[in-house]
Amino acid sequence: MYYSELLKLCAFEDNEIKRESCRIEKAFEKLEIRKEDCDRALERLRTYFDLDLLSIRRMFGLWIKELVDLLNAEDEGKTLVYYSFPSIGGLGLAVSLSSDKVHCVVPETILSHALGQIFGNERYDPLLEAAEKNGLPPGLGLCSLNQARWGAIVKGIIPPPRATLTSAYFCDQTSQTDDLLLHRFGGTEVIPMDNCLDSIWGEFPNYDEERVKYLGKEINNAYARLEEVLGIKITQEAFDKVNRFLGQFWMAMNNINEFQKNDPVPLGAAHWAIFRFLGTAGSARVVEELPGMMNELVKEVKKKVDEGKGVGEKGAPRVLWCMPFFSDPAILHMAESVGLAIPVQWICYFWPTPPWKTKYTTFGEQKAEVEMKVGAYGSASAYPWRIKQVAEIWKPDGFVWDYLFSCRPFAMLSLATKYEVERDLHLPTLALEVDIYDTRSYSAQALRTRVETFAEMLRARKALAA
Amino acid sequence: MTTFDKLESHLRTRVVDMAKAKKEGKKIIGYIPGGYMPEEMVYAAGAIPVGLIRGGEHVPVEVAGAYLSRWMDTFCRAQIGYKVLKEDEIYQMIDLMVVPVTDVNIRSIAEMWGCYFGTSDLFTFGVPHRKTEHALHYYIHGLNRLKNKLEEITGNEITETKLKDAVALSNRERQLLKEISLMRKSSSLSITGRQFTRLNHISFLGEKATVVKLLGELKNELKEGAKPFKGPRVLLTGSTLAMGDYKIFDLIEKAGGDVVIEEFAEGVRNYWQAVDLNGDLMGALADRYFMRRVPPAWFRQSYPERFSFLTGLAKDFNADGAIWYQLMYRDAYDVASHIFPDVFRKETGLSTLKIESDYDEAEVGPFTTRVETFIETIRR
Repeated sequence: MYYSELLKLCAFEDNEIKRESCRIEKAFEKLEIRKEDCDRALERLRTYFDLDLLSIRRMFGLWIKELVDLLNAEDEGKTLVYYSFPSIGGLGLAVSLSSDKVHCVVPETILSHALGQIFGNERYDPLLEAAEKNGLPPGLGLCSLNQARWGAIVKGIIPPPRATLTSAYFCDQTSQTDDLLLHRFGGTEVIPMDNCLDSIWGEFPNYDEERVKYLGKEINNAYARLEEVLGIKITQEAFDKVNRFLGQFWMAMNNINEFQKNDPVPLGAAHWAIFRFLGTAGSARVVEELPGMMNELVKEVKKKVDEGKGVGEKGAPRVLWCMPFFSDPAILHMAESVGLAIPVQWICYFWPTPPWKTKYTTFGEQKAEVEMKVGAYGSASAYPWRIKQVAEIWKPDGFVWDYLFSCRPFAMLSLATKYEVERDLHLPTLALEVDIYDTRSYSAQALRTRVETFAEMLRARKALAA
Repeated sequence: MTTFDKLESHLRTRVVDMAKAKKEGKKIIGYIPGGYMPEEMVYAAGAIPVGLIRGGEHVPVEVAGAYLSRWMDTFCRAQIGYKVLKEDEIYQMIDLMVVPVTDVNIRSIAEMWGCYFGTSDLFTFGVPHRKTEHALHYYIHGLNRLKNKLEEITGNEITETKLKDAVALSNRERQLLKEISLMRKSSSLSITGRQFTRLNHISFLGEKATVVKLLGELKNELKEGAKPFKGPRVLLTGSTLAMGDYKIFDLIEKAGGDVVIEEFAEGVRNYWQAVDLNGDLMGALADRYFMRRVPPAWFRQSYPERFSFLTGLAKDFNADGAIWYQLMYRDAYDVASHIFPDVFRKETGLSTLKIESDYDEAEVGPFTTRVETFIETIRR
């Protein structure tokens, strides 16, 4: 089978490949994945990733399994619910865990990781192009993650879902994409979870309690509606399982981050995207399989530290990097190749928040309270606040603020974040306009000059300071 | 002097009048006019509300580039630019900048104002994106916070009586604008689309009682001055129609058409509904400004109500076509503009032209060709 070698590299067992061959071939047929794509995927994985790490290979396998599950779900009699990114942790997982007849995932994250990271532009870009021809045209700064979802639907790769659980609490675009879905196909129960991001600049970490109540009510009502539409009960047991899973996930992330403080950095930057977003995008399968893989990764990274192995040269300038790339490992690989060490990525670090005792009794309000305290869905000024917080912990030589141009909440902060970080921490900051989901225009080659120059500047500063 | 001239004359001296009033202790409250800010509350607090609706010029947009990404809506970037340029006294003299936070683009005005200019003169309150009971509750919560802030900054209590008087005056203004607007249903027109929009813009800056008086006079004048209009009649809709951004009107008129009705999220006063003067006034304000308002495109699932309203307008005003005029990078409107033409044609049989502006003078050339061609195709 033309895909066997690739799947074995992704830690599939032989009997697993045989057992799943029908499902895999069906999925690959829809995605037009042929032998040459698998050969290219092998090349990509060997180039960009440390395949000595069995856990990372297993995680690639998990992405492929999620992709195959997604593309087979409808035919296998499952009811599809599409949750969306950015995701409040656990909301989609709780739905999947409540019924084995419901498949609730973030399809765009699965597509961008599984297709983009593994198979590359040739298999991923057609989704974006299809979306561009069907209501989400290029040149207008429209979110390419939404394009990935919409393109996959219009191409018939994934079906329109029975329901959406829409992350309308951060940006406006995801909800608008649902409107395209309704206009073209109808039949989907669109369930947005709204939010009011009216926090004044500088208010964070304080917040208006009414915001907790509003977002909390939206989440609770969204679940109630979903239960009605799907005929299921989203159980407390499912919520508890999700919370346990998230606790295990972040504990493993913290452990790996601690090892990243070593020099050289043991785990390359491109690897983080492989597990960071699995937890929020995947189905019930992720809850079963990911914790073990994360624990394995912790041990493997520790081994690297013990052996003094890592990425790049010892003494290389160390940068805090903002976001990993969903669909292309080449950029972070390039950044390391020009001499930057990337021990920490802001979105992959657990932002320290003082513990609190909640007064809220409903799941929705408890989740909303978390988000107000964490800040990402509560306040724009929380972003530079949290970046400065993480920078003060890690004491990097520089900060790469790779802001996603087509995400208005991020784009809005493109210069303000640089301004605040440089003003308050005197930390050299590269404001790098990128697209973390679509690197057709913002490719490694296009960004190289700026990143390379920044690296040279940091090296010079480091040498002067020595 | 015609009434139009009187209104323009009033506007010309308005900044001087406001400066005098400020010197005498009155507070100037600037706000982003997206239709969710009840001006009545500002009047009831004894302050002067000023809609920050200037736009149409590229220099402020360029200047804002040092503060805010180019991928944000043009009008929003321009507001930061006007503040930075310090050429428009209104942006410098306001004692409080109120931003009803609607979508992310409008939010960026508040965030950048806070980041670069400070928050001591900034106030934000949230506008939910759905019309549910708890959304209304959140909006009212915002209005109550605004009330407290206005009382704090002015030192005046917003009493029921003062609020009622302010609402009555604003209702009168809305009524007059509506009556003048409805005159355009006729096949004979006494006011152009550009003139009506100018009136609308003046209402954001003028002294309310003066504007209401002059609108009353104008209404009577206009009853007599109608002339048959046989050119293409246009429904103009989009994201923001700022004061100074009139090139689309000029192009339409030059091609022989006219805008007979317009609908925008920002920059144009929504005059279709009055505030109910009976009962709880704060609740009535919320009902009118939030629940009964036709949702802009950034509302979640706004299309059924919004497009129904637009197609209704097209039919009522006997439009021959629609021009969708929006500003660059207003993401919600980009997506809506893909769906609207299909729905509009299905409901009315009419065509739509989409035009996107970045307030750049260089756009006039290509826009001219497109507008001329469109006007020609819809000419009966």
